[in-house]
This record gives sequence, C-alpha cells and structure tokens, in this order.
Amino acid sequence: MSIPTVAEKLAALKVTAASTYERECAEKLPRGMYEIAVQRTADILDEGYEIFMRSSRSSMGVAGDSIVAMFNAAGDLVNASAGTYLHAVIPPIVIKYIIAKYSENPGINDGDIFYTNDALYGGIHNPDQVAICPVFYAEELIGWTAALSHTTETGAKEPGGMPVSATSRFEEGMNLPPMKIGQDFRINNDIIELFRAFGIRAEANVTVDLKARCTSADRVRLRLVEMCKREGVDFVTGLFRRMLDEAEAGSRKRLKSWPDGTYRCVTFSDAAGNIPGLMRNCCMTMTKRDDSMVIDFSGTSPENLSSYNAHPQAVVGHLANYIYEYVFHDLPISSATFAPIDFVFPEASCLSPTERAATSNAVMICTGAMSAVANCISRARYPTYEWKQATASMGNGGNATVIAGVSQWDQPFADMIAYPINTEGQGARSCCDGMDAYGFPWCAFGRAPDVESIENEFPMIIPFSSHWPDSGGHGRFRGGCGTAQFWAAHHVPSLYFMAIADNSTIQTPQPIFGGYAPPTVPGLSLKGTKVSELLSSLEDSTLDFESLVAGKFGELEAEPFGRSTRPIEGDETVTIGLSTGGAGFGDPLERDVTSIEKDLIKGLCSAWSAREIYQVVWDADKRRVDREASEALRHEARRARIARGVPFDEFEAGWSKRKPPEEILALYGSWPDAQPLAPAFRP
Amino acid sequence: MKSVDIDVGGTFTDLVLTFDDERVIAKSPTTPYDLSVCFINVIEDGADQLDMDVEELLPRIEVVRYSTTVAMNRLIERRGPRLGLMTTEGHEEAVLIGRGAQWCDGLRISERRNLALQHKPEPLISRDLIVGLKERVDSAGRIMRELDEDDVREKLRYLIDNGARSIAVSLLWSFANPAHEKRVREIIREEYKGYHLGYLPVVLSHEVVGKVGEYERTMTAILDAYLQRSIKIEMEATWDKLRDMGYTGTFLLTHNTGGSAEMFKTTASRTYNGGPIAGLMGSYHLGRALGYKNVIAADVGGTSFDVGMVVDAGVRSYEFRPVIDRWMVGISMLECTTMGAGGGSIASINTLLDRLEVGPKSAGAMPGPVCYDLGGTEPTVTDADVVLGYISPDSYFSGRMPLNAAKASAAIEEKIAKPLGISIDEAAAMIRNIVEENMASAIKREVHLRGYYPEDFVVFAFGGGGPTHVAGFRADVPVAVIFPQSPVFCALGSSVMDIMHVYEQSKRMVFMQPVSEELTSDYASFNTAVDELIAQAEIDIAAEGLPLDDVIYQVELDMLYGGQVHVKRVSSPHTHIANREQMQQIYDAFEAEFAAAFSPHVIHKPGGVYLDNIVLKATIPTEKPVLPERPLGPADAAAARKDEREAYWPELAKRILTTVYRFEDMQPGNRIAGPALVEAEFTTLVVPPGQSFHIDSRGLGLLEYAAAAAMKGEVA
Repeated sequence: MSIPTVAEKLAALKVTAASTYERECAEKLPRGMYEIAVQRTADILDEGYEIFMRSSRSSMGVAGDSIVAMFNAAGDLVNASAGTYLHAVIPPIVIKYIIAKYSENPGINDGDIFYTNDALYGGIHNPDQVAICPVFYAEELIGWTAALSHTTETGAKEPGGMPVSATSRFEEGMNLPPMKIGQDFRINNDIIELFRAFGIRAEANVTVDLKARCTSADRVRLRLVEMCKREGVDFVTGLFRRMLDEAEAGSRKRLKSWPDGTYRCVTFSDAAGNIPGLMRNCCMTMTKRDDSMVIDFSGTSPENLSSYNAHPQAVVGHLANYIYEYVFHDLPISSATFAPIDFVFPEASCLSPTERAATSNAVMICTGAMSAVANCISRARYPTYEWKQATASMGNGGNATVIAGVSQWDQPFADMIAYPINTEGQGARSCCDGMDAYGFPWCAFGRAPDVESIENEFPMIIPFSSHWPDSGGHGRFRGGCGTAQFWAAHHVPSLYFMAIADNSTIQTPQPIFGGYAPPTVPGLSLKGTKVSELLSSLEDSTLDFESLVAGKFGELEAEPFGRSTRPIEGDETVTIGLSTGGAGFGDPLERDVTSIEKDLIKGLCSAWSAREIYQVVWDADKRRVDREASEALRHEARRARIARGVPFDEFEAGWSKRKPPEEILALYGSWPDAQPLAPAFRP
Repeated sequence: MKSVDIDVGGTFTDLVLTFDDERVIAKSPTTPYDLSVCFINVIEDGADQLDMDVEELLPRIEVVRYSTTVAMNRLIERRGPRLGLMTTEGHEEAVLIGRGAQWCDGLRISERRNLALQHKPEPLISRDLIVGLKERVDSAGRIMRELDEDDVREKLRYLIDNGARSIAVSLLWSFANPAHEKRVREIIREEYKGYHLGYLPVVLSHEVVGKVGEYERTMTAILDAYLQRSIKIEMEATWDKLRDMGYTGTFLLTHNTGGSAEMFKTTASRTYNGGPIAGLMGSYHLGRALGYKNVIAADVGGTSFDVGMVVDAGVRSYEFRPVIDRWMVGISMLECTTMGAGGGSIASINTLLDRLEVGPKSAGAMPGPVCYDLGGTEPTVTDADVVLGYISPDSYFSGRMPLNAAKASAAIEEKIAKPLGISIDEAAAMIRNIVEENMASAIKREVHLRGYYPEDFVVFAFGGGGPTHVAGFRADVPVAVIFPQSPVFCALGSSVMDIMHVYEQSKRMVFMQPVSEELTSDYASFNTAVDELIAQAEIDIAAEGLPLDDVIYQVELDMLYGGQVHVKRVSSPHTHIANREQMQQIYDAFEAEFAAAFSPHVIHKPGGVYLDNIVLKATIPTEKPVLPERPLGPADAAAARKDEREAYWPELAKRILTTVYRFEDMQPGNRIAGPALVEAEFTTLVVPPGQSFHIDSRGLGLLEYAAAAAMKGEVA
C-alpha cells in the first residue's frame, strides 16, 4: 500500500522549488510577451471549461461546478478556470503522487490519461473525480492538465453519491486510487465498463462525465502543445515558473498587509449523517505572522461512524472556496497562492480521519471550516485598508434534497433539486447587507432553475417560491436571506424523497462583531393536506410562507431537515425547501432604521424581529417605523444590556461550568476539548 | 435601391446612404438629449455628399433602417416609467431572486470574482409594486386555481394608486394556457379605457415570449413595458421629422434576431444590441457575395471588442443565456461575444502582480483617452496609437477632432514607461500589443469552440478601431478585409438585412421514445403548432403591407436528449412533417448539430429525445446591393500617397519615416508593403512590417502576411 500520509498530501500543496533551468527560462521571458501569454493561458482554460460544461451529462457538470487546470512539469497548479474553487487543491497532490509512484511502472507517456476519485489519495469525496493528462512536447514532459467535476452517482449503498448512512469507505461505492485509464489518447474499454458497473443506477451520467473530463483535459493539453510549437518549450517553462512566482509574491504581499495575531473561530453542527448529536465541526486557530500564516484545526471533534468526515486536503479545498472569492479574487488560481499558508490537523478528527472512514459527505462536515475561515480572515482584515472585504460567513447550509421516481414524461429520474442550494444568502458585509438568495457557496456562479423548469422536468407543483423572511442573520448589516419553496407531488401517484442537512437545531455559520447567526433550518411538511384541494379552496387566503407557518393550510409537521429516503404520495407535500441565510455583521441595535423599514416593506424582516431584535417600533398601518419611539426603545435596550452585564472573569467562571446534556455529546468527543473517547471501529 | 441606414451608437451616429449605384458614408456625434437631432444631422451630411439637401433626398428614399442603443441607454439611466407587475400569487419575488445568480448577469468573468463587492442590480420594479393574483395553472396548462377577478380589480387599483403607469402581467404557465393573462388584460381595459388620458400600456408575458422559464419571460415583459414609452417617443420624434421632410417609405428597426421589422411591429427588447448584430448580418450577406464561407466579424469600438461568427455561410449561433443590461431574457438573440478592449481601454500596472494590464476598464467617450484633452488622465490604447505615430493628431475623425499628442505621451511616460523602466515608444507598443493579443486570443477561443481553426476564416475588420488594430488581432487568420465602409459597417450591415419576424412557442413533446428509440408518429400536434405560428406571422406581415407570397418560412427546433439540461437549436429541414422519413431527417440534423456543439460523447438515444420549443422565422428577402467589379490597375500606389510621418515599429525597434496613403485614393490593383499607414476618412489602417495591403477588384482592402502574399505571387 502506498497511501499518502497527511504530511505528504499537505507537502504536495506546496510549490516545488524552481530548477536552474526554470529560473533561466523565466528570466529570458520577453517583456510584454509575459502579460500576453498569461491571458492566453486564461483563454485556453476558458475554452476547456466551456467544452467541459458542454460535454458533461450530470447537472453539476452542466452548471459549471467544475474546474479545468494546467500545471507545470512538477505538478504545481499554474492557472485554472473554475466554477468551484475547492477542486483546485486536489490535482497537484494526485499528479505528484503519479510522478513519485508511477514513473517507472506503468510509466508516464504522451497520450496517457490518469484518473482518481479517492479522497484517501488526495480527493474531496468520491463523487468528485479528476482526469489528468501529461503534456509532452518533443518527447519531453512539460506540464500537466486536469478536469475535475462532481457526478451524482458512485454505486454506493444509497443513490446520489453522498450516502448519509455509510459508516465506512466500504459502503461508498467506487473509490479509484490514481490509475492510468488510457493511453494513446484513448480510454480503455475495460475502464469504461468498470464505470458502467459502478454507475448502473445512472450509467449515462457516469460514463458521459468520465469522457467529458478526459475530453476537456485533453483540449487544454492540445493548446499547450500548440503554445510550445509557437513560442518554444523554454518560453512555456519560464511562463509557468514566473506565474507561480508572481502568484506567491502577490499572496505574501496581501498577507503581510494584515496585522499579526491569532484569530479563533469555533463552529458546530447537530448531526453526522443519520446520527443526531452536537459536533464541533471546526475549531480553527489562525495565526498570522509577517507574510505567512498557520491554520490549526486542533480541538475539532473526533471522526465518526458516518460519512460526515473529510480528509485534510478536502478541508483545505473548502477554505479555497472562500479564499478565492474574497481574499485572492485578484490572484490566479494557483498552488503558489497557498504557499504561505500551513495547516495543522489533529489525528483521528472528523477533519483528518483514519483510512477506513467514510467521507462522501465531506462537503457537509466542511461547512464549519468554510464558515470559520470567513470569520477569522475578516477579523484580520477589518483594521486594514481592505476593510470592505471583511464579511460574515455565507449561508453554507447545503440543504440538499433528492427526489426520485418516474416522471410525468415516463422517464425514471433521481436528481437533486437545484433551487435551494443555489439561493443561499450571502454573509453580511462590513459596509452593506449580504445579497439575498445570492447563489451556491460551493460554486458562486451556480444558477437556480425557474419554477416552471422544475415543474416541467419533475412531477411536482410549487404553490409558492419566495425569500425566506428573517432567514438572514441579524446585525448592523444583515446576512442575505435564503429562500422557501413549497414542493408537492403532482402528475404521478408517488415519488421518493430524501434530504441531507445538519443545521436543524444549531446553525454552523458564526456571525461577526456582534451580529446574529442565521436561523436553524427545520424540515417542514403539511400533514395530510391535498395540494390540489388546497389550491382550489384557498379563496381569500394568501399563499405565502407566513400563512403556512401560521397553520392556515393545514397541520404543519416539523422534524430535522435531513431525512432518509421516504415515499411521498401524489398531491401531497414533499417538504418546504429552505435555503440558509448568511450570517450577520455588527450589533443589530446599530442597524440603520431606514434599512429595517425597507426590509419590513419588502417582507424580508418580520414585525417580531423588528421589535425584539432591532428594537424599533413599526406602524403596520402606516408602513413606517416610528423613529423617535425606536430611538427610545434602543436606548432602553442598551441600558438593559449594561444592567445585565457582568465582569469578564465572572462571566468566564460561570460559562466554563456549563455543559450540554451528556446524551448529545457522543459525536462531540471529550468535554470540553473534543478529544476522541475511543478509536472509531469499522470492520 | 435608395436607402438610408443609420446606426446610433453611444458616441457616434453612422450613416450608409445608398442611392442607386452610389454609396456614401457619414459619421456625426450622437446627441443623447434628442436622438432625432443626430439622426437628421447625419442624413444631412450624406445628402451633402450627393449635392442634395435633405428635403430633396428623403422623398426619393425607399427605405430607412435604424439600429439604436436607445434601449440600453434608458436602462442604464433608469429613465423608464414606474411599473406594476401582476404575477401568480406566491411567486411575486421571482424577479427579485433572479434565479440566485442574477448578480452575475451582464458582468464579465473577471468582474465577478470579488464577491465582497457584488450587488444584485437595482430592480426595475420595487417589491411594493409587485402583486400576486389568486390563480394557478399547472405545467399541463390545467387551471388549478380559478382567477379571482375581484382580486385582480382590487390589486389593479392598488398599483394605480401607488403610481404604476404601465403594467406587465406574467403568470405561471401562461404560454401553455393564456386564458388568465388575457382575462387580466380585459379587466384592466374594463377599468381603464384606451381613450383615457392616463392610458395604461399592458404587456402580457405570453405575447412577448412563448416559452418556459418565468424569470426570463417576466423580465422580457418588464423590459418591454419599461422601455416602450421612451423608445416610442424617440422613434416618433424621428418618424415625424422624416415625414415632415417628405419621406414616405417604411421605417424599419434592426432586430437582434438578425432581421428587421417595422417600428410598429417591434418590441423594445428586440432592438437591443441591434448595431453589432447588423454588423454580423452584414458580414454574413457580404461574405456570401464575396464567396467567404467562414467570417470573423470583428468590431473595435471605444470600449468594447465585439466578435461574431459566420460559419459555413450561416449565422445560427444564439446567445446561450441572453442578457439585456443586467437582466436575463427569454428572447433568442444572435450571439455576439463582447470583451472589454477598445480604443478607450485603460492601461495600468497591477501592483499586486507587477504586470501591465490593458482593459477591461475604459475611459469611455467622456473623459475619453488623454489625447482627447477632455480631462482624461489614464493612458489608453488610442493614446498609444497616437504616441506611436499611427493616428495623426490632426486627421482624427476627419480632422474634426484635434488630439493632444503631448498629453498622451506624458501620461504613458508617467504611468507606464517610468515604472517599467522602458522608453515611451516601447511602453506604447506594449499597450498596443497586449490589447491586440488579448483580442486575438478571444478570437481563437471562439473559433476553436466551434471546432474550427483560425486559418479557415477571413476577418472583416470594422468599427473606428478595426483597421487600426487588425494586423495585430487577426491571430492566424490569413486575410483581413477592410471595407471602404468599415468605420460605419454596422449601418452597412443593416442595409443588406432581410425583413424578418421570429415567433416561438414552447411545445414539450416526445420526439423519440426513451429506451425503444421509436420516433413519434404524432405529426398532427407538431404541424398544428407550426400552423398557429404561421397564422401569427401572416397577420403581422399583412399588417406591414408586405406580400405574403414573398415570405420564406424556416422552422428551428430546440431539442434535447432525455435527462439532459442543454437544448440545442437545430434548423429543421422541414416546416411540416408528413412521414417517418422526414422525422428521421429532423432527428439526424439534430444529432449532427448536437454533436458539433457539445460532444459526440453526450449523444444518448436511450434517454429519448424531446422537443422543447418551436421557432418560426418568417423572412421577406430584401434586394442585396451588387459589389461592382473594376479592372485591376497598376500595383504602384504612388498616386494615393498623402504624406509621410515618423512612426515607431516594434518589429524594427525604432522610429522610421513612414509613408501615409489615402484609402479613398487607392485604386484596384494598388499594393503596398508594410510598414505603411493608410488613412481613411474615419479610421487609419496600420500595415506593420511583414504584412502587405492591396485593393481588390471590388474596391476592398485586403491585409495579408507578406510572405503568404509573396507565395501567391501577389506582391512584387
């Protein structure tokens, strides 16, 4: 066995030292041509990315939840075109593994295609799969290319690629270590058959996506060969090295501008797969010194017997989502931008589990790291000239719902409903609210479908689809609101439904500077209500979320949002699809009254929140906030705060004695330091 | 043929005036305060060139065609009326949620990356002017909740009381069953008559877009309602002036479908991007006339570089996600890729990455490049052209706009040359080189995505900056064509466009059964849908007074394989289906186009094939101008020599005295070798060392690589 260690995987994220030849090539680059060639790499990658979207079959690939990238000969990421930045972290680990282990046998030759989806060897989780091509010119290895995307079927014990009930990797379906799957620019037929066998539930999705990855990686390879032909190998070698050098210099320059310090953030969740319980899904300590920093995850809960574990590189990938969108948005997507950052992962934790762990829901456990990094970095940047880049955490709920059955078009289907995951709220910003229903935190440019498109494709009717009022975390600037959609089975006798989530009793995203976290996400449905009868008998009732919650449409049932596969009868409620709001920024008592008034008029803030959280007086008839009365109310609220305040030592002494009930701490680990209580046993 | 073609751009208004065998061009500054002023001004310029006055010219003109940026300007300025939206209850916020990623729409990729600074666009309708009606139709067109008419009247009154001056009505599935939308309009008309002073325009969504997707359909209806009044006022002002001056012909507006239609049969959203599309269609028609199957239509303006493609003598590539300003719409628009690179693109040094960047930020028309001397301080591409000696400060815009070369030089020295430690000439050459290579890279990407190589194409270079930069941006394309009308090419394009109406109807039907792969035998339902669209077309065309016998119908179909997301629009070989063989032919056409556009790997017949949308194009061809041929004269272009001036050529790494020719004086057969400059009335062609330029028998300028031209024996 040659499974890479955590240390080896983290080391592979670092840029390989430049050879003398590379240095010479970089120095020889003609002035002016460098800038042009950088743009050319971006255009080549955009072409590959477009080809990837056009060639993919699964919905995430079609939506651009993918990456196409190019690397130097040593496997360092030079540039990429991406919808999902987390994928950027993976290929360097895999390429460096291939170079280290396979150079002799089976060898690395022009026309080879390598492939992997195994998180143990460097992946995110096994639905995320990567095709890698070496780039040869004049028989010399000059670089690598890769295409990576998510496919929603892996042959696991449950459909959809992210089995919530998997307890070990042996229940997660196909896990391929890095392997050569083709040569002479062709995929081996036996490999295609292997994919068919594992993807038997959705064979076309699996095999078409496999070919799409190979096609896209090869397209970028071809363009790099053309660039070598036109400009020479020395030019391309020098270009790659200089791009890496400049990306690292840019990254260090940015980090240097922040004040040195240690920043901490702790996040929680309420379940691991089907197992309820409190988890400290991320305990982050970020120490920034000069132009580098260390991110330490010590104190995170132990690994667990569900698929809610993530190998360290997957955690780093999730940090990349935030970092490339908010921190290094003006730098290339490159290994070098992460060069100044080191990581510490506690062994046998849910963010660095042992070999047999199930990790197919790595994206769910990593919501904590995604949120914590926003919090730590924003606090570091707020006192700098980059203060406008400081934000609270995005929603990061990832409340995924899967429906399956036979559609009104007599087509078997099993798919994720893309609306809620693509309409989460953005975290509040240091100078304004987060965008309402802005998109998908894992793929910022992802797009929600129209209601008509959902109803056209799936046997459902959606009586309402709106913002979810009050779902953004309150604050001086509030988090963007998420959305609420009422789904009911329609046209067919029945369908199947399941949902993945871990935020029904405690929310993961932490607010910042006195803001509020977004609310928890319940699993709501109407008991026994026939939707066709409801629609035809509504009369004067208003069809909206508020009326539903008030019980006007029938008895409302609330349970955890995450639910195992269950049948739904035709004409009955599937569930209320809810997407999470973003976290809040700053003290709600400092929120501008006019902004609250606007939110009340738009229906994004309830009268209750206006009164109880923001302490303002709303006149519903005049549709105006009484400013004078509100100021008095706020003044009183501040006095009450002072009155109930206690000295810090007193607070800490009391707080330290508190402990959650023992029965919800099984996933947490030892109290309060979250250390493993016993090794995880997986036969 | 006697016609007037006008393209109103943000900075200049262009004219192509065709008067039988004569064709003149003119350019005039756009007058944003009243577009009818620049419209008439530019016609006066053209009439002058024919030694006529406008009143003498216009009665003899048969057709006026017009492409305009009015729609865009009104959107940017948010100068539309206060609107009300009536939609299905429970779905009032669809246009505010905007499918989540609404904030991305209308932004370039580089502009999207910094999420901390993104915002959704300011809505055209505020939330309090959106009302939900108590009604519901399902995806099969069945009424699930009857329309509550009292509720409609109550909410209509609410909208009016709150200031709505125009109403968009967009109900779910209205295109599948429009009964509720139609009834809502009847109620509005019952309450507010057409003859009332406060006439209330009403736009029904199913009438502007007949297909699935409520966000895109509603936004189209909103834009049409929002822009209707301002465009109508401006069009009518122009129309009235034309009539007052004796014009009696038709007044056609260029559509983004690639056709044109009467003003009275045009919706506002159809006029968006009309100019660039006219340029693309001009490339298509002129490419056919010249025997070019594959043409890259490249338009270099002040702020943007627009690239359209004519492939295999056809233009059928539509925008994947059509966006007007910041709004995704449901109409089909021809594809035209835009990047932020033009004469006004600003050059700057990225201090984080320590590299020179050009664009996408632009100095625009105001303050414009530094050399305009209107307050601009950031060096631009045009400044580089002036510094290098390519653009004469005295001849710019026909000498009507003197440029300040010293200021341009100082800006480049201070902002670029000194920080990089290079000479001013080197810095200017680097700015030019970067912007041109970025344009070339964009062209390569577009060509490669269509499965071709640049070598298979010719470039038509147009816009004020096209000829100035084509030598650098044409990538590996062997021949670049420069027209005498290149600076006003979009207006030229509209002069050769057909009259065309486009109709669409969502029609989900199983075309090929899943698993069994049997083609459907339900021809009647397909044919009925097509006939309904033809009936609509006949009403419109007859109302324009055009002969129905001349109409050519073409059916295009949006189809997809079962379980897939992307539809592919395919040109159907048949307008109606009579037998299985024709069905098979349609499927074969779909499979071929699908494989070419996406990948052969994605073809999946076992999933079945679905028809999603039927598109009918009703075209009335217009007369195409003939490009007269003249005998080739001598190669020596000495007679066209105008001047000589110093210019810096990076290929030679020095300044040399360079001959300047006058384009209008060059004769068929004349040939010149670079380095040379060729000045036309509104542009300058740059011929660098290693490239050659000659005039062909039709008076067109052809720029080639000198070595290639020499191999063909065309250069002495």
